[in-house]
Amino acid sequence: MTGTGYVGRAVRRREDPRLLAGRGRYVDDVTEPRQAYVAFVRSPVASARIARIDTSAARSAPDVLAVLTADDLAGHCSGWRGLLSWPGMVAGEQTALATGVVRHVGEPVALVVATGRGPAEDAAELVEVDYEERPAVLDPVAALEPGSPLVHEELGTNLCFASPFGSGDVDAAFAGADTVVDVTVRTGRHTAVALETRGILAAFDRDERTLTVRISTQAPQMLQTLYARLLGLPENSVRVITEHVGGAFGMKAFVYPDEIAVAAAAMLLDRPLKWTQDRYEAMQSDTQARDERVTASLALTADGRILGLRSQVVSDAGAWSMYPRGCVTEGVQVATIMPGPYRVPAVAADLRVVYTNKAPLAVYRAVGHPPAILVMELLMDEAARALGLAPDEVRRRNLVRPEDLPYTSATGNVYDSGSHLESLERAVALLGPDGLEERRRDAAARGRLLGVGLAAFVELSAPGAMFYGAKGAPITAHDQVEVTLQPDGSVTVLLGTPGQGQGLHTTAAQVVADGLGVPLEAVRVVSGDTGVVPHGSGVWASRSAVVSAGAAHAAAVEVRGRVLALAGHLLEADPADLELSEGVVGVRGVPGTRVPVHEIAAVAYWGTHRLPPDLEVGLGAVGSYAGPPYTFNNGTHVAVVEVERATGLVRVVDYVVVEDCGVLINPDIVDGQIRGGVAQGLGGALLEQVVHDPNGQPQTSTMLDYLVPTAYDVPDIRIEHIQTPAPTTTLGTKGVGEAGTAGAPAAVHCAVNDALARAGAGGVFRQPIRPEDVLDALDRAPASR
Amino acid sequence: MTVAGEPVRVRLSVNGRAEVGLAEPRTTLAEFLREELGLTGTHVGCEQGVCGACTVVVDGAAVRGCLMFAVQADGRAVETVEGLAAEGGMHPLQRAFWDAQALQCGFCTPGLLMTALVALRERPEWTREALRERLSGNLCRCTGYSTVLDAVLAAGRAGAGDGGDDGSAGAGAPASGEAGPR
Repeated sequence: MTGTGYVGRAVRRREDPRLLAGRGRYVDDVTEPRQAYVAFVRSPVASARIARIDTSAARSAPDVLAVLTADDLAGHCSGWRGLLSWPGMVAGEQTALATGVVRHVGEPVALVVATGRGPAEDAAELVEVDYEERPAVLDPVAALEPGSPLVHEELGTNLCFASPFGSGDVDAAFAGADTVVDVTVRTGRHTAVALETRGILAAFDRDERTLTVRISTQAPQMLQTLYARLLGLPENSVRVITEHVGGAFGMKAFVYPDEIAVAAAAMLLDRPLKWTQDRYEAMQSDTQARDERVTASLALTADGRILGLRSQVVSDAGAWSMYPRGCVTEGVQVATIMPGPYRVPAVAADLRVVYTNKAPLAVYRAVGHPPAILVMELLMDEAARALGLAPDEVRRRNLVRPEDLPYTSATGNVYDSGSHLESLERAVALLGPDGLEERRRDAAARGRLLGVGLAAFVELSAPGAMFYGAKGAPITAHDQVEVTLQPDGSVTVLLGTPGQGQGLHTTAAQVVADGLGVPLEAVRVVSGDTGVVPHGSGVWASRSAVVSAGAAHAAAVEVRGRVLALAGHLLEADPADLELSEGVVGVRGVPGTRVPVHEIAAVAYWGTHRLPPDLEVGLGAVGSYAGPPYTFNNGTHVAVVEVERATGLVRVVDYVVVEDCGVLINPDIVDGQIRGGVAQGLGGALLEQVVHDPNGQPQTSTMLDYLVPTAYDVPDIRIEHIQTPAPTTTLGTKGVGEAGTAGAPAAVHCAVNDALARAGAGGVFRQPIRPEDVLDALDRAPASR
Repeated sequence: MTVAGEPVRVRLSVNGRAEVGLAEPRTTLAEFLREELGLTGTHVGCEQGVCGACTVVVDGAAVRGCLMFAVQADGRAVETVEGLAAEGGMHPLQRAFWDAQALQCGFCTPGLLMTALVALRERPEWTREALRERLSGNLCRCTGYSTVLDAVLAAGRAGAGDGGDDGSAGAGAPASGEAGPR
């Protein structure tokens, strides 16, 4: 660090003026000459054999250019299996358009190309498909019974993956326990609902044999690799462009069949093709998440010390293991994150991931953490009630302490650093426990039950290659950033990983300005074109503040070293005696020697005759960062809710977050991630659920049915930071993008159950917690009303 | 006499300029603004009036651009996000959003700005709770809303409802002032 000090400052985001002016460039904002439009014919049933497809009426409809089915794309776009090398995992072969069988409502069956979007959608209705319906597999537990219909007949089973996780003598722990508590929890099936729906604009140059796809994705380099592989092109002939992305949250990190079908069609038709998903399609075909059935029990001593944890997790994978990340990460993380920030000496988790006839389950913000932390925190509260301890006290007795660090969980996760106990103490203090009784009385006077919920959590961030690369998926763990000092002293930063709203241009500029020693205003950041930028793995798993920032720092430091070497020659000084700050080189301790960096850059570009031949003159460098296997952030959330006795409605009235994500690059950006993450977690706790009818028809096909939090639902959130630097990352940063979503479902849920318990009612053990669930619990309470 | 389904001419005022374009009867105002006039700042998030991303101002009222047909806007005055800022400047609402970091991905932002604009023209002083309800028809999946409330309240104090530009440079010049007052 050079100490000009942009890292750590809440500078305003450089992305914003353009977005605020309405001049963002999301995929649908861009139009190519002779662009045609795509509409999809999608399966209206959850499970069927396709007996016949008749496209003749659609083909002869006005303005229609082509109608394509799986047969037309065979030979032009390979199929794939969403397999990772987890022992025993199986996955069916998927094609861009359904081949012979449909496995969920919304699966793309045929593609219509017309000169306009309206004509394309009109003609799609003229495609006749005969479906021979089959019984749909909807319950992942029943799906494992002998004789269940099969989602993928070729696999001979609906079981995608099964594995135990954990270590330690759990049987002994339970045998020796004074108290055992258990819970059975069901979490809702979620979907991301990015405000910008998915979309693609694909163009193929037949002479150059190059494919350019402008697409709403969070992993452009990964798509470059996989589109090249599946479409039979060299990787250097596929260019993926992402300027602005209107939210993604994990959902846009895949090869989607509909998207690659558009790319394949653009190659066949030699015309730029655009497809913009509508919301109805999004609710049917975007990846879904959570939907876990968990039974867990916790063994404790009489004084509240945890001895062991057992869990059975059934994860409803839906119909496909999405390519290339697969469908098991969520379930694996439910099983392995569950011990959380607590000292749990023995864990035995049993995971089963099961195929059903629903849209695919995949990664979504905080992958697996929300159910894992929810289950653990519900167990902690049950333990507190069983033992007569306060909720904070039972946690306090079990949280990882500073002297335990680095701590290895019984599921094999290493917590390198953190403030597990301190974050709880600070959160409790911030809540102001002394005022709670008054708040309870005030709520009661208004017919409401006040409840307080705690959630102490850890979040795995910035995972390395062992996550996907080591399991055979072409997903790297490292990023590259190129930094170039221009002749006039301005700086260009090419970012391998673009953002989808996180403000990565701003944070990269802060890191580069510090690392190189130039004013922030001198730095311009460019991203979003794989034909221009160096490699980046994309935005996922809270990695950019660690990995992308680490690469940016490495590049900046390299360029700084070259500038100082040149300056040393020009000033006849030892480079070690030089300093570069705010764009000016000086000799340390000699105030008179101040040379603007552009004068040195000008020599490097135009005056190389003044330099010895062995001196490196290029002022551009690519920095890489691979980093540690991962780093864990931690924190504690406290939710305060009011439960309306008459209606069962839950309102979150106060919310406290104490977060420790190490060094903060930009506190406002971090706070934005936390607030947005909490809002999504609150949605999961109280509102969000994909609902299917008994035939597998989604009943939540619009944003009126699938409820995401509004301004009315989300409280103001009080945030405090603890900054325990990660010992293993370049800048001491840890990821934070998913931390809010990791902790919030548990905090809100525990608060509701606390409110219910104070009314003598048993808790609710499903999410979302609907008013009817609350009323049921109150009705069943002996002391109620 | 027009044939059913054939495009018809629509004349309207957009951000104070007379505009003319062709629209089929089924073309929505949001589509017309985006496709026919090239004003892509108005975003379409759900096409059924729920998310609010396409909110524009028609004759002074906040309107869902996806629920109004282009032909219904014939002869009317439409305001979009592109008209908020005067040349080279930022509208106080835009500046307040920037200061408060009231956006992340930016997709819902134009609709929120137009909804807030109408709210502040009605009255500059809002309580936080009243504003929370007023903005609850515009969905944002990134921010958790509280910085949006901060921004609109601040813009109200700065007189954003009076319209016009705050005279400060900034829009389109991302390098300027980003280390500004925090």
